[in-house]
Amino acid sequence: MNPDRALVEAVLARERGAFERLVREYQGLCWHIIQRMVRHPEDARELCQETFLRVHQSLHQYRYESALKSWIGRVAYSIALRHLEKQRIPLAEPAADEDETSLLEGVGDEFDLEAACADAEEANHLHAAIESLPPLQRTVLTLYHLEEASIADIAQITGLADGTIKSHLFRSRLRLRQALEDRLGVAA
Amino acid sequence: MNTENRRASIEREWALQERALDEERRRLPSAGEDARLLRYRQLSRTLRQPLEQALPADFASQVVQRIEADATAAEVRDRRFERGMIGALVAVFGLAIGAAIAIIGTGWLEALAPYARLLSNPWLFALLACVGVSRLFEGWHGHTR
Repeated sequence: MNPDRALVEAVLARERGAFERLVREYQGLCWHIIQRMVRHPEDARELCQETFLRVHQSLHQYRYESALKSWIGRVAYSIALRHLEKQRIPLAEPAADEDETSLLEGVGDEFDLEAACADAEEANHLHAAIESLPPLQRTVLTLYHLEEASIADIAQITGLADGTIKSHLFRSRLRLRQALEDRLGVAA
Repeated sequence: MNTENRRASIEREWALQERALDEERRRLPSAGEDARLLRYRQLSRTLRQPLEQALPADFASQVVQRIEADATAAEVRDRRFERGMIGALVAVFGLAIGAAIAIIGTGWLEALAPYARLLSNPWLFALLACVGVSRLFEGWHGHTR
């Protein structure tokens, strides 16, 4: 039997320890989505709890049409999105002009470009640059690189089109690469 | 022509980004490669690092405890509501009986008058008292077992 189905059926049958197993399996995914979206550890922990309470309440509605990972990720994403809306935090930057040169603008100004370029510092610089991205871009990058989710999975989690996900990935990575090059003083 | 060049340039950049991700996933050595590819590999490496903060180790059991506590609280709430509703229904039923007797029950009361004489018999009260005490004793005995 499909492991997702076995786990869901065990939870619905109120098998002892089944829901705890489900939480352990997917808490990392939820944390990555929510922490990347809200960037506030206390809020993120609370929202992760809320996510699993919601999952527990509505698991009977899961129809196995997508992977359980995507379904739970979607719940986490919706909860984080609602939180950001309440806080009036914009999810993504306004749509850029289609001219790709605009993609290369913007990130570098926030960083000290004159500092020395040791490896650790570069990594810190990159982390800072990632943190400076809008919530949606940060989340998409984390899902793709850290969670190794496919573009189709990310589309299911966020409800965005595949093309939009690709565009966010492309633009974010380009901006981060340029932030790194600006720091190193490399001509783009 | 310009649009085509631009599209080709975006496709090349995308391919480079994806190649860097793939090489990092497969932990391939990086030597003497394109500088842009190396930057993307460095970016991929950074993005693949776990987030600094994480959920507490006992997060899953905390969630389960909260779910159980919520379920118990909901059960207590439901039971209280049920008792309240039963009490209210009994009161309404009692009031309805009272009202019915007051409105249309005078005839019945007159018909029952001969039996009222029974109530003046002290043995009847003694019998009722014995039954009551016996019931109370049974209840107390059952409770302490």
